[in-house]
Amino acid sequence: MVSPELILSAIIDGLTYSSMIYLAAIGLVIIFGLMDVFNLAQGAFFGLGAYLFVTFYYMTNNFLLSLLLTFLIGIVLGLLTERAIIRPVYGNPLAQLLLTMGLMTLLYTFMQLIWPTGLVFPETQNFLLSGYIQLADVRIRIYKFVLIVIGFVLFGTMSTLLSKTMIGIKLRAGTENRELATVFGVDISMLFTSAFTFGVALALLGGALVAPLTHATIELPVHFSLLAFAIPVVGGMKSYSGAFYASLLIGFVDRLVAYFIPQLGFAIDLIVMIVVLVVKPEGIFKR
Amino acid sequence: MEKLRNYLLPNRFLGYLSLTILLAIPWLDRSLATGIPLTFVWALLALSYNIVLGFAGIPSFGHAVPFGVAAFVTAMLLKQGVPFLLSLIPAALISGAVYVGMGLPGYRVRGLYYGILTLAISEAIRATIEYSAQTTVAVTVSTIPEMASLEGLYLYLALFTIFLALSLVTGMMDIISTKRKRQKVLKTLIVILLFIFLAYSGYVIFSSSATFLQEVGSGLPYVRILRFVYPLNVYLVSLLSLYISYLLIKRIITSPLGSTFIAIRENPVRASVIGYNVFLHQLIAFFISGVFAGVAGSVYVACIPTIQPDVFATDKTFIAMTGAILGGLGTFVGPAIGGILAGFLRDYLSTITPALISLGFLSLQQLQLFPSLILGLLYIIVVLALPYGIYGTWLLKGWKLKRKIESIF
Repeated sequence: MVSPELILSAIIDGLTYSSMIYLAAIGLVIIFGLMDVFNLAQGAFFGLGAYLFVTFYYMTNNFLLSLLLTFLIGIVLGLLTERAIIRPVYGNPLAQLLLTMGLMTLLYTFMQLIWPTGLVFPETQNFLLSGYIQLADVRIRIYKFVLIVIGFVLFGTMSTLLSKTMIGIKLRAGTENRELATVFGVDISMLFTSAFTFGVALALLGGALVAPLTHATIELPVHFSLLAFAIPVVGGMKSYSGAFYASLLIGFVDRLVAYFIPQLGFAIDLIVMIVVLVVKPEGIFKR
Repeated sequence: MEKLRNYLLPNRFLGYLSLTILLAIPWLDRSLATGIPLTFVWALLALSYNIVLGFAGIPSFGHAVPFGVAAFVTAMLLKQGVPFLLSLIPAALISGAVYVGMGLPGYRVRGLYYGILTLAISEAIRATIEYSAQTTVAVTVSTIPEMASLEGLYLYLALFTIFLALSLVTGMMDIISTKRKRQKVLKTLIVILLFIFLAYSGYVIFSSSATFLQEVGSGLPYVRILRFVYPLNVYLVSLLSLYISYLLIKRIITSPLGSTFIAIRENPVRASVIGYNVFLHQLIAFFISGVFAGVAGSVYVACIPTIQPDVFATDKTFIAMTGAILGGLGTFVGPAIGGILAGFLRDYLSTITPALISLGFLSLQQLQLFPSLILGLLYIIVVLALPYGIYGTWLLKGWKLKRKIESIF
């Protein structure tokens, strides 16, 4: 018998999980979806963001400041990665995959080396961070709603940024046709560097944002590195609204399966991705 | 006879020499005999990975799957009491079939999306096994009875003698065929030094095995025999499986089938227009690669007696990738060299780590990760700086270096 309370909490969990996946994948939508760079390390950056954020939180005890610090480190890391690793292999997808796979393993090892046991996000007095709300017999953490709102806001911002502002238009032009965009006076090299950097920084920021809910463990990057890839694949490569729907789909599938058929576990998300890849390789939400 | 020799034996002095030295290593330092077989397993895995990525040009990131399947099948068969060498064959065939099954989606999913797909498949398998069992699924194999037999020791000694003699003969021939005088002197000097080393190791091997056999004759307890013979037999099995697989892979790739693989790698459209069935050939490549990955998985069971779901983890794929790329994709010997090098480095770095403990700010568990960190860095540097790998770069640019060295003398 499925009770309404169960359905309610399943729906809220589904929305939260979708939002988390979207946070993990949003950087990849730019890097992989628009720039065509196979960045397997995106999930590792996501996990690194969580670790860094919790560390900063212990040091400063200030939520926004820690977020800002994590984002800044993300920018530095993204810049370094782009300059050292990605720049030599633009347009060579196999080398990109091989390199970022190495980077992913390197980051996993690094995280386990520095933080061997994982980090627990502490209980705080802040209502938004650690408070609970009673909703028809279900106790739900407030931060879940915060995450859902952040996910929607981020979607809105990203859509506007990519479709309405000059930066987004230039970026899309540059990925459509590099030479032509250069002819029209777009500084492609600069643009790609900043886009990649922004994507990596977004991944770290996403990791930081989910850390109060999931804590920082090594499962986080391992789990999300493939999920993050599932989003642009399922949603369709060049489609930033597709990514949003795809994360809703995968998030709900995962949570509903976890609630009602718990034996399947994490594999179901990957099975969705595999099925979509085989049946409709161009993605189901293609524009 | 000449044909057989071409198939079975290396053509050059260097090949014989390296085989002899590899056979001698576990006797000179007994602690190495337990560590190196695993290195050979990684080298074999890298060799099998090279068939898919290097020769057939299919980016598969799920190479841990055939490896893990074979490891589990072998472990389960051994539990049933099947002899090791017999369980190797079904394990290899099953993992080949599994890899073909993984290759089937490649009909629709092309290029690098296929790579991501295989990564997802291997992760899904690992997650399912770990999740459905809730606890760790582990198959523990007790000592494999064949590995404790004395026949293995006799075979070992015979093989060592043969390769020692062969490297002696080819070394002589190499010196004789050298024309330039200075080069000849230099070569003679190096060869003599090498032979002094080999003679010493031969002395160590035969004297220690003679005393051991004498003790066995006078009634040595079984445990002592086991401790002496077991690591040597595991070493022999892993080295022989690596060597034989290398020969077979070389034979396959130099055959018309292998040339077709390379043609498909270079230009799939053209190959299909000429009339080759591209997809079928890719599946064959998957099968061959899966079989050898399966052999690697079986030998892995002999090295590490407890098999856990982590044999399906991505880091196994990554080890194969590191070996293949470090050595050179699309070369014959390269992946073996790369795999052995990576394994040696890992071993060597983990011997350094106890020294770092005394610095006092890292725990043992953290330090075990240290070698992978350095290897990961090395891997990235090699992909960026030497896109053809060590051996591939040597094949491309080595002659310049050779000429430079020759001009000095």
